[in-house]
Amino acid sequence: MSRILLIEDDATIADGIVKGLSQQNMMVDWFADAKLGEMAIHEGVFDAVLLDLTLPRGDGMTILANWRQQKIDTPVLIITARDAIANRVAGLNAGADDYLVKPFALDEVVARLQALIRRSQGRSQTEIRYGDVSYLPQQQQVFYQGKWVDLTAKEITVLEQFISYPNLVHSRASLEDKLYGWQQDIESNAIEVHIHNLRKKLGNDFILTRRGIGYYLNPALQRPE
Amino acid sequence: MTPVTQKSYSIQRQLLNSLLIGLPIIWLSITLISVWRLSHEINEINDTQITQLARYLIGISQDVKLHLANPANEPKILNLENGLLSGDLGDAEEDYMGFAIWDQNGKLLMADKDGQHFTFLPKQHGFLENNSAYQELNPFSHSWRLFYAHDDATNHLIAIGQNLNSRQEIIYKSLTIQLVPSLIGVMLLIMLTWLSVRRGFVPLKRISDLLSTRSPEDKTPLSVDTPLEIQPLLNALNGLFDKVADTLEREKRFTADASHELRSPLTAIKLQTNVLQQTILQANLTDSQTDALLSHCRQISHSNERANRLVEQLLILAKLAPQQGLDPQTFAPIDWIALSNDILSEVNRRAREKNSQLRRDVLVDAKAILPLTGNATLIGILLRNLLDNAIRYSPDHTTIRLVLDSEVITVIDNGNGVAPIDLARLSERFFRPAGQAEIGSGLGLSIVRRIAELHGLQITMQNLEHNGQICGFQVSLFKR
Repeated sequence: MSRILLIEDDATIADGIVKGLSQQNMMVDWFADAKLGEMAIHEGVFDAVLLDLTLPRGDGMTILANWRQQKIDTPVLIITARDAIANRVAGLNAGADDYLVKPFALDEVVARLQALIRRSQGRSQTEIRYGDVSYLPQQQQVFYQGKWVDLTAKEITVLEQFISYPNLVHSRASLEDKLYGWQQDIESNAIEVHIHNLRKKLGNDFILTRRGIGYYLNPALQRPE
Repeated sequence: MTPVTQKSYSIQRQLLNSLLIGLPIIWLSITLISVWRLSHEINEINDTQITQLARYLIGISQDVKLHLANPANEPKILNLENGLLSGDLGDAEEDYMGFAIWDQNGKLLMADKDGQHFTFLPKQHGFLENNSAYQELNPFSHSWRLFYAHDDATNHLIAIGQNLNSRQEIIYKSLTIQLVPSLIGVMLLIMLTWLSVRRGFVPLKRISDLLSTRSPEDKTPLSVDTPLEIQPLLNALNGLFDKVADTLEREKRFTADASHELRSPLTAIKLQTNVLQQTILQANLTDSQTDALLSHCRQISHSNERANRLVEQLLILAKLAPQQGLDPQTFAPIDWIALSNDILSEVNRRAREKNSQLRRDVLVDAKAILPLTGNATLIGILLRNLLDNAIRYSPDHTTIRLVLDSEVITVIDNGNGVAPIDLARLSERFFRPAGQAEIGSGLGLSIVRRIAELHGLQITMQNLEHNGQICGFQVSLFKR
């Protein structure tokens, strides 16, 4: 379970993030007050920070600058406004690791936080596990129940999407976009075929379908961390 | 905006008219007054002379008595001309005066050339008002002013006469001397005044020229060399510029601020809806219950997306609002290939959601594609809006092409086109054809038009037809 520090002044947004992330096995400590939030980092328990730069009085940037000056290198995800490019650039230059643009969906928050945490823990370098499946990104190799599985390049890419963001529901459209880009002609059931093959090779209950929304990894298989 | 038309009057013409009428009138009046005053003065001088002369003659006539003791003697007619005198005669003239002396019986005792013709008027004392007597005698004579005096000692009658013509000549000459120069002076004055006024109005013309090319946001004050009289006007104008620019700025900022403020609640809704979705999925409900609840969630998301889109477009529009063009410093040659790569990738997800296919056709060499210098971000927004529209408003499984050519950029889809009655109104702000189920702000095309305008581009939109049936929609972008 990851612990996230949230510094956000809007109560409804904060509530949404707290509840939403908790559904994804992330525990959120929310501080509406910038000063308290700034000091909270010193507890040293957080895996990542969600920092709203659209806080009034520019507190967000100050907090970030102060942290980095004190050599605190917890990954920070800044929240910016879409057209405030200067803000975004300044934030990244000041030491943020990634950014979110308002308005953002929950799965974006989850995805980016997970990516940040993985990066900071060096996990993306070695192996990602889910259930009986083990994926080695560097070698592009997949193992199921200890045995090497022969997957096509496209199937590996699809699996990578699922296993990198295990808590998300992936829509057909987003999978197509990631796999093929805009240039290629796609059969309308291409993704279905890939999912079908993955189920054949990695277990029928590995990937579940949520009608109208998309595909997701079976939560029952998830090993507690 | 039609200018207010009143019965217009010209300051310059008014001035010219006043001068052309007034000055000659004044000149004429002055001339007449001068004539009158001058006559008076000249009469005064001359009459004084005459009376003076009369007194001299009275003094002399006593001595004449001796010569006239003999009544048979002829009157002595003196030939008194200037030739008798020598030395500097100054400006003296001939034929100026005459005199006559009679005894009490009317016998002419002495006279000069002119004086011998004077009438004997024993009863007359002083100036004679009526000159007709003398004129009758001599029809070729000029008018004379006659002065009669009596010498009490000798009872002689003395008459002094002055050629009035000389007087008139004097008046006439002195007037001519000042008349013509003063007339010329008046003309010059009129011309000078008119030229000065014309020159004075030049700053006004310069100001109106500067104003015609000015943009509403321009806050820089006008600085033109102006006369003091126009300064207050200029200052008021500059004050007005400030106010107008500020108003525009405030309006722009209001739209931007309002949209910005809307982001937080919209983000909150989005997040909470996501949470709601997850909660529903994780609750142990029946399939039908889950489906029903998720369907409501989708509706909320749908509307929220629409609000989000509207906010984004409003923000873009707010930035484009200025009437003037863009800052040319942001301009750079547009790399259509790179830009379209980005935009196509951006909209691909949405296309895939409808199982629609994006394509790009490059008909010429990359460098030859519609050469355009402009703001890449804005052109990107333009392309994105067009592609987005094509994706949204076409049915599923549509092919959307972006065609890049040397003279024109086109977005073509093979969807159902737009109803002809709606076609003309497409670019109106907030206009959306009725019955539109897709999310849209109604601002997309007005933004596209505005960006095109700022880059000197023209847009045409039309349905594609085949055998009388609408088989698609095309938007073309080309240089004006």
